[in-house]
Amino acid sequence: MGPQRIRMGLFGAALLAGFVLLLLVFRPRIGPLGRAFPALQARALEAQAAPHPGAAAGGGPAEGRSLLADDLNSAGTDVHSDLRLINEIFIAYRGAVRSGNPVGENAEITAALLGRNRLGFAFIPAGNPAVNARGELCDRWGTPYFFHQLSGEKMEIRSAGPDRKLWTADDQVLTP
Amino acid sequence: MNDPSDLSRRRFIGRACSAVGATGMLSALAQLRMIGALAADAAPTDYKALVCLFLYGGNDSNNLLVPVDNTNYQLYATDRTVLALPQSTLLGISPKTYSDGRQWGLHPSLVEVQQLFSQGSLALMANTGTLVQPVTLAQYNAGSVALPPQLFSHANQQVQWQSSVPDQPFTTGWGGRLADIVNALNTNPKISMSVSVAGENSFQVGNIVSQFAVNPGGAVVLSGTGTSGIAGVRTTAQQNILNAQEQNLFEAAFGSTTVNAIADSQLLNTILAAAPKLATIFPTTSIGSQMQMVARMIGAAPQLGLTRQVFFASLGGFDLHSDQLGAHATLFMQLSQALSAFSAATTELGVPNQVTTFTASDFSRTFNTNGTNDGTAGSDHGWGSHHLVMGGAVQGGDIYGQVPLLELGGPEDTGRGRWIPTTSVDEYAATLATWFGVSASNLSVVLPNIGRFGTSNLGFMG
Repeated sequence: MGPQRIRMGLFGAALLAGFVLLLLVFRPRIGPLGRAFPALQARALEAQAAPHPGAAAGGGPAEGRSLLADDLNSAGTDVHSDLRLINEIFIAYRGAVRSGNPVGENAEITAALLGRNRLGFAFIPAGNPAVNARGELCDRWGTPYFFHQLSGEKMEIRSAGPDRKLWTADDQVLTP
Repeated sequence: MNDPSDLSRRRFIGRACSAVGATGMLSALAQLRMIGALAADAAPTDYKALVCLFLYGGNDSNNLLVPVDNTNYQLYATDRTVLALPQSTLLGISPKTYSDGRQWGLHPSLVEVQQLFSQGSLALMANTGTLVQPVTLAQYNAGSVALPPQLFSHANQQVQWQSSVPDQPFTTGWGGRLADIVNALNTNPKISMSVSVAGENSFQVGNIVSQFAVNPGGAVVLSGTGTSGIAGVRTTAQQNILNAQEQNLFEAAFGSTTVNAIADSQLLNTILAAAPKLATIFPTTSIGSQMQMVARMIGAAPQLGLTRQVFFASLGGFDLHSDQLGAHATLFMQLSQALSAFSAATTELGVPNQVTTFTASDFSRTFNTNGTNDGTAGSDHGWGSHHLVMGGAVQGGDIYGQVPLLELGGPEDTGRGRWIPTTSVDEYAATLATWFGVSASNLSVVLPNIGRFGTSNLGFMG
């Protein structure tokens, strides 16, 4: 094999590598509720496999219904568990909606989690008892959480704690 | 002689390389054209400095500028509740031309700012914020126009204020793009014209000009280095390593960048040490020390070969969700005293009309409070905010823009008194960039979205 053929071969290989690189960069996106959203997908599969107390009357839970918030404020857990669950919901939201965290006051953020988002998907299904009449997500003592928007990827979640007053010593805070 | 197929391949490769090279060359030529155009716009002998003072955390400008007439103060106090400043403590100001039927006062800690305003060397820019395009409350509620992504988020709003391109992923700051163009006026610069006294920032990230960070005490010097003893041996060894001819491009770039940074630091400290000491006394606060360093750098500009400088300083701690009243008063006192000392220093240096300082911040804060106790209550993230612009070239003693109707549920309220900005960061920045020497034809390079807004000259720079 002459040097010219070797050079041509190398040039061809470089072109092929460039093509593959372009494919990787501009590959079609996976649907938001598919691989990009493993937590929700796993929960949905779990919901299909086993009956759940929150299931709709007359049958199992609706396919794809988010169960992420079902254990919020439940008796068997504590506020730390609640904060972790809410953080998981934000992670799921970011992964699916792909626009960063929802923004605004508690009611605006909760509305986005209840379905007012690009996908129309309820990360917290309607009727969840942790949402009060004003549409605010509340802690286990009934006080709306304070969502501190540090960045599009980081949401500090603050519960007012048992004294029901924010910014006091018994506040419980999760900072991702 | 090559056969035709070989020639064709070579021609293909050659043309491909030419195309790639031409792209870069066209970009460079475009840049050179802009630089040439700018050089023709302004005389390179005049000196100008622009100082960005970023108030990190979101400054509550609702308590910076407060209505003092009885009717409007009562409206303010009713909605601000425990965060309302006592009417009798407000420092009254008399804007030269601004008139909307209200009378105004400043926060009681802004004693020096009030004096600067009265002297005509400080102006207030009202209700300014990040915008993708002008937006009304109806459009906001309907979601019918694009809003800055991650509105109300600290990190995103800081970057968007500093880039002024909220609808695009961050690449450069408007201060960096400004420096890229204006740097042509620095005919023999010994260090970068972009200097930060507050660490790395987005504002000064440019394509050509790099930001150079210094401490309030001077340029950062590597510890453990020197000219004698073990420190001397260590320094020599380090220089040998950095100066080695590296084959890897990244290693070579790292070596040359580090060598240049060390040399720049040594040069700057030598020049600063030889410069006359400023007689102006600065407060011994963080922002006071930063502004003193900026003043020293301005004093050293002739020795540094600089006729244009862009500075970045910052004051943090404004994210006051609780215990706001006391902490905010302290921050405003520090800000006011530092601005006053800096103003005096520019006069001492003989460049009061050549230096303009402006404030920026993530956002303002909610008009209503998040608590009921004046000792512990705070406010949350807002949007449009008021800012200060200071310098001899500023058409001071006036308020520019439009102060919102301070009323919950009013025409600019998106909820809890988060005011929709009536002036964009783009317009604010364009006014400053134009003063700094950027021609109208180059303004869109510094502020790509400026064409979406009403004006590129708000009038506060004459």
